[in-house]
Amino acid sequence: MIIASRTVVPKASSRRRTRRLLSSDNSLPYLLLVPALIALGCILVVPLIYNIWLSFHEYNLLRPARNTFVGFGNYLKVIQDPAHVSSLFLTVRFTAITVLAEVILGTSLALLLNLPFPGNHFVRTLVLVPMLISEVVAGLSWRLIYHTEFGLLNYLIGLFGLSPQVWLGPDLALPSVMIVEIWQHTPFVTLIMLAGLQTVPRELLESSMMDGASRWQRFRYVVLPLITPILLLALVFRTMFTLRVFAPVWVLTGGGPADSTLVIGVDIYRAAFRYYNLGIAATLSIILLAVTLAITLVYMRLLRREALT
Amino acid sequence: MNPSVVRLLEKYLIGLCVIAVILFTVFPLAWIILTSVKPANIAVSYPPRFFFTPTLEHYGLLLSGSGGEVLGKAFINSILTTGISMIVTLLVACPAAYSLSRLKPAGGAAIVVFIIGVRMLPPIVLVVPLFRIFQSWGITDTQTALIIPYVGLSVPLATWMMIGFFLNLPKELEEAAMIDGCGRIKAFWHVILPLAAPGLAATSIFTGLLAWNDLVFSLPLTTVDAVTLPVIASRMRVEEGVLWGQLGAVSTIMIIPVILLTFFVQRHIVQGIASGAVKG
Amino acid sequence: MFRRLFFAAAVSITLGAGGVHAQTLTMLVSSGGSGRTFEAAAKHFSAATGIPVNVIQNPYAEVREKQLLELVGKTGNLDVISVDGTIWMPEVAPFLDPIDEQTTDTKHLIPSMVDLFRADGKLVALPVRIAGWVLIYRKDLFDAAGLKPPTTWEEFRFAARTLTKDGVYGFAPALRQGNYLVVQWIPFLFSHGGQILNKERTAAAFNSPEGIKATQFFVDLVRDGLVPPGATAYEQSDIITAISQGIAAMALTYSPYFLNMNNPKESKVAGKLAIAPSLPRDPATGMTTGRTLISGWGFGVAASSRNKKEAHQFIQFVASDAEQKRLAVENNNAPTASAVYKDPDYLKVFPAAADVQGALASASDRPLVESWTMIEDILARELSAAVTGTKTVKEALDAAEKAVNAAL
Repeated sequence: MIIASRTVVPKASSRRRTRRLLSSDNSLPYLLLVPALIALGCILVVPLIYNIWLSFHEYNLLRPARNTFVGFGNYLKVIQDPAHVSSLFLTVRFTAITVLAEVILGTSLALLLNLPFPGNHFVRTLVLVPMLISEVVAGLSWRLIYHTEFGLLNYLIGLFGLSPQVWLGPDLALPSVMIVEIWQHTPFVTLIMLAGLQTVPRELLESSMMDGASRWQRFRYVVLPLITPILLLALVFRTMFTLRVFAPVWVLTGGGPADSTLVIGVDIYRAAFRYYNLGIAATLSIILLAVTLAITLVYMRLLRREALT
Repeated sequence: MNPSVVRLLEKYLIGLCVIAVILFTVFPLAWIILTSVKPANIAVSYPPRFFFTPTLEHYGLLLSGSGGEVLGKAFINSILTTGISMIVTLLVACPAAYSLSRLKPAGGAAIVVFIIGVRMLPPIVLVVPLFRIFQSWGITDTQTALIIPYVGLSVPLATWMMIGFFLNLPKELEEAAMIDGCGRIKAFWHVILPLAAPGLAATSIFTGLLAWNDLVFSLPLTTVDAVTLPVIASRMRVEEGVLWGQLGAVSTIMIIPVILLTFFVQRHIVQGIASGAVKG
Repeated sequence: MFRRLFFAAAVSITLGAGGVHAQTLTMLVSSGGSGRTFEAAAKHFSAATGIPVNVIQNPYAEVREKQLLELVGKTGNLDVISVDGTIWMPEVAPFLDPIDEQTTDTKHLIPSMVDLFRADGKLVALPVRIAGWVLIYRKDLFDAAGLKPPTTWEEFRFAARTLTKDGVYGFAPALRQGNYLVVQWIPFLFSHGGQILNKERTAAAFNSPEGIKATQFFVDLVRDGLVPPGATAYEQSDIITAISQGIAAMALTYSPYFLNMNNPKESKVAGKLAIAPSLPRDPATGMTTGRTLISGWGFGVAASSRNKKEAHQFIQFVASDAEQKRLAVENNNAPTASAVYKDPDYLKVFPAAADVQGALASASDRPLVESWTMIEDILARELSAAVTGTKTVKEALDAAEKAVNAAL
C-alpha cells in the first residue's frame, strides 16, 4: 500500500517532463502489466469469482444434484452459528497477539544482529532457519517437543524443578500453538527489519549521539520513524498470512481441545475437505478476505499518518 | 562505573542474548535432525536421549525398495517446480513492477491494490477450482499444475518488493543509457536488471520457499509423476503415528539445500530488501 | 515473449512427464501398516498376472480427500479405490463400479465384513483388512498384581486404579480432539449398551442413560488420574508410544497395533503384552461380553477407471483365501477370509488370532450415514470438552445431541 500512495501523488513538474521524455510509447506501461494481470487473472481472479458464486449457493461437491442458489443464506448461516463466529474472533485474537509478538521480537532481534560481533553473518543465517522449513515439519517437530510424557520441554523444565505441563491441554494449547507460530515467523520480521536498519544513515545516528541522546532516545526518535514504513510492510504481510493460519494448528491440536484452538483456517479446511461443503467454505473465505482487507486498510491509514508526521 | 567495564559487560550480555536466540530458533529443527540418526526405540523416550550411537537406518529405509527412485524423482520435481516458479515469477513481476514504479500508468494505485487484494483469499479454496481447470486441460499430476499456482501466489509479493526496488534505482543511469541509443527494453535489460540483482535474489527466496515447502497444492494436484519432497515428508505420517526417524531424514534432505543457499545469498537478501522494499 | 516462454516450458514439462503404461493400475492407500500390506499384495498380483500396480501411500485424511476429488472429477486417474468401512462408504459408493455377486465369490469372506460394503443392496467393494478395537494389556503387570483381564467395567476400573503407580498409568487412551477421540469412546458406549444413532438413523441415541453412564465412566478415568496427564493431547500413535515405553498398562485400540507394541526393535515391553478375549461389559445391561467397534478396509473399482477389468481382477485377488493368508502371515494383515483364522501357519505367527476373532465376534461399526464426518466432528468437540472438564458429561452430550440431530 506504500506504493499505492506513491503512484498517485503528483510529482513536481520536472519529474513529469522526464516521464514524457521516457515514455515514447504510451501503451508500454500497460503492455508490461499484461503478463502479471493475466497470471493473476487466471490463477487468482477466476477462483475468486468462482468462490463468490459458490458463497451464494448451497453447494456440496459430493451431492451435485442438490446444489441450489440460496442468496445470502450461507452468510446468515455462518453468522448465526456460534462455532463459526467464535472461530473468527479467536483468529483475530490469535493474529493480534502473534503478529505483535513477532514484530517486537523480530525488531529486537534485528537490532541485536545489526550490532557488529564475530560470526555475525553465520548467526544471521541460523536465525532465519525456522522460516525456511515447511510448516508441517515445524508443527510435527514441536509436537514431539510438547509431548507431556516424552517431550523435551517437560524434561527441560524438570531440570529446573518445575512439574510437567500438559502443553497441548485445555489451558495451554492456545499459547503453545502461538509460540510455534511466533517461532516460525519472527525471522521474516527480523529479515525485513534488518534490511530496514541498513537504510538508517550512520551520520544521523552519530550526530544524535553527539547531542547526548540516550540509546533508547536514539531508537525512539531517530531509528523508529525511519523504519516505520518497512515495519508496516512486515505487519501487513504477517497479518495477512496469520489470519489464515492452518498447518501448525492442524498438526498440533486439530483445533482442540474443545475447539479452543479452532481458527478460521481450520474451519475452512473442515468445510472444504472434510464435508466438501464448498458453499460454506467459500463464504468463510470471503468473510476472511473482507476482514483481511479491512485490517490492511486500517494499516494504510496508520501508515499515511505516520508518513505525514 | 568505568566505561570500559560497561563495554565489557555489554559485550557479554550481547553474547548471551545471541546464544539464547540461537538455541531457541535452531533447537526444534536440530532435534528433528538428531532424530533422523537416532535408533527407533529411543526416538520418543523419557528422559530424552541426547547421546547414542548414531544410525543411518532411517535413511536406509527411506531409500529401500522403490523408495530411492521415488525420493530422487521428488527431489528433481521439487528443484524443477521451485526453479521454474522463481524464474517465471520474476519474468512476470519485474515488468509489472517496472511499469508501476517508473512509468506510472494511470490507475496504477488501483492495480497495486488489486494485485495485493486478490492474494488475500486463502489458498485452500483455490484447490477445487484449480483442480477442475487443470483436469479439463489434462495437466493434473504434472509440474505445470504446481508451477501455475505457485507463480500466481508469488507474483503479488514479488511485484510489491520489486516496485520498491526500482523506485530506489537512480533514474539518471537509465536515462544515460537511453541517450546512448539503447531502447527502453534494452536499457531495462542491461542497466536496471543487473543493478536489481540483490532485489531479485530476495524476491526469489520468498517465491522459492513457497514452492519448495508447499503442501496445500502439491498433495491434491499430484499423484505419481509430479510429487514433490513435502508430499514425501507428509507420507511419514502413517496410521501408527509419525515415523520420526524417516520424517527427520526427509526434512534434513529438504532443509540442507535451503540453508546452504540462504547462507550464501543472505547478505544479498538483506541488502536487496534494504534498498528495495524500504524505500517503497 | 514471457508468455510464450512460459508455455514452451510448460508444454515441454507436460510432454516429458507423460507416458505411463496404459495397463498400469493406480490406487491410493493409507500409509503405514495397511499401506505396506497392500504394496506387498500389489507385488504379488503383478508377479502373477504381469499387470503393474502403482500403490501410492498417503496419510489417511489425504487419501480420502484426493480420492474424492478424482472420483467426483471422473478423471480416471485412479482405478482401485480404498474404502474405510462405513465411514467412507456413503461418499464413495456412488462412484464405484458394482461387484456382480453372481460371478464373484464372497462366501469365503467374513459375512459381517462384506456387509460393510453394501450400499442400496449393491456390493461395491470387497473387504481386504479388518480393523477391530481390542483390549491390549500388560500381562506381566496384571500377573504381578494378581489381576485377570477385566470382564466388566468395574473390574477394568479396579485394574486401572491398582496399576496406576510408579510412573505407570492404568490406561492409555487417545483423547485429542478428532477422530481418535471418537473411536476411543465408541467401544465404551457400545459395551455399556449404548448406541450412536437410533435404528432408523434419523436421530442421536447416545444421550441415553447407557450413553451417559458410559461417557461418565470414560471421563472419570481421566478425572481420577488413571490415564497419563498428557492423554488429552494423544492420538493413536501416542498410545503405541505409551505402551511401548512402559508407562501404561492397558490400551483399547486397533488390533494390528499390538504388533508395533510387541516389536522388540521399537518397544521396551515386547513379549509382556496380551490381548483380552473380549471387551469389558456392563452387567446391568445383561450383555455377556462387551461389544467393540469393528471396521475395515475394502477395495472397490472406480466407475471412471479405464482398466475396470484388471481392477476387478486385482480386488478379487487381494480378497482371495490364498492372498489373505499370505498377507496375514507375511505382512501382519488382519484377514477378512474366515478360513485364515483357523490356519495353523497364521496361528503360529499370531497366536492371539483366536482372541482377536473372539473379541470381534460381537462387534459393530459406526452407523452408515451421509453426514458421518460432521457427526464425528461434533462428537469430538463435545467429548473433548467433557474429558478436559470444560463441560460436564450431561452438558456435553446434550449439546452433541442437539448438534447431531441438526446435522441429520
